[in-house]
Amino acid sequence: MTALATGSDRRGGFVAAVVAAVVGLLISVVGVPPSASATAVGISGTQHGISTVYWSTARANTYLKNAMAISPYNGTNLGVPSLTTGARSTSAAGASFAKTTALYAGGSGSFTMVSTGSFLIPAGTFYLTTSLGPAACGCDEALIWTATLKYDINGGGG
Amino acid sequence: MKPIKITAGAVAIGLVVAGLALGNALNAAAAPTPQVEMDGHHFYTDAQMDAVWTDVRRTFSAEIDPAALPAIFPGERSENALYEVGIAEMVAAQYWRCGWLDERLSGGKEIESSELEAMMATYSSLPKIAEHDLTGYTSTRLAELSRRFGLDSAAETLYFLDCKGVES
Repeated sequence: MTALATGSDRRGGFVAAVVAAVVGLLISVVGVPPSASATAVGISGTQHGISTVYWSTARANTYLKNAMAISPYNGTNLGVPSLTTGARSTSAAGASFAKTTALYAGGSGSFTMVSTGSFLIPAGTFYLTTSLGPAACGCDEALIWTATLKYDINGGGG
Repeated sequence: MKPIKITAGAVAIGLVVAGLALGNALNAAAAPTPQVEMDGHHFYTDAQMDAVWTDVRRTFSAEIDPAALPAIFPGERSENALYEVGIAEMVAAQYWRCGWLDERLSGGKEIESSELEAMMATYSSLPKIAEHDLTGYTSTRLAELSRRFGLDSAAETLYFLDCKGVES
């Protein structure tokens, strides 16, 4: 869980000092044309090293049924077995109320998404968190990922 | 050598300069610089977050009891965690707004629309809100959502969406 830090931070001295904590970065919000009923918002990011990144953007779900999915698409084996994207509230418990996880399919150069917990994001304010699982090798390469937030998956605004 | 005369004016100027220097030093100490930067995004490490939180409490511009502010995601802290700049301010602002709503709604007094608008304006002016709040909770939007959720008012709807689970 150490080597992925190297080189991902432009302040090399700092990275050397906090080898395990690394860099998460660039979350860009790209609007995706909505379907007939549901609205999808694409989010992409690049994350280096073993870290959990708490993003500061507050978003709101105002529908009863919603979903979230992620799909890491870096094609090389980074030795990173999983990437989890979660949505959570700011409650005292820091409740994570939706998570999706993608696992690396060894040898195929791809990730397969599996779910952990519920896909549903209940109505209300939420924030995103992304976490990379422990590295299995000393690789140092960015993992590029995308996530899609789908609001109102049942349609009808309910 | 001529003796140096220290006038009252010189003393005053010296005190002002010293005060400014001390103020700058205190500010510098109280407001941590994010240790991780990438592509224009800045992050605090977990080790920095206590100082960040202390600074947010100290400088928060709305009326709030600093001691009542919630910890940031207790139970989830990890030395490998990175926190995007702005997250502490967002939590503080959300907590302030929920406290405002809770006090009035629990008191049973109807919240006038002008009063709610004023509160929303204050919220929007708080640090980092313009950059990081994508919730779109405007009074017009809240009125629409009130009907969807079967709630009586925009204030109740905002409380339902934003404050459930927010505790100190």
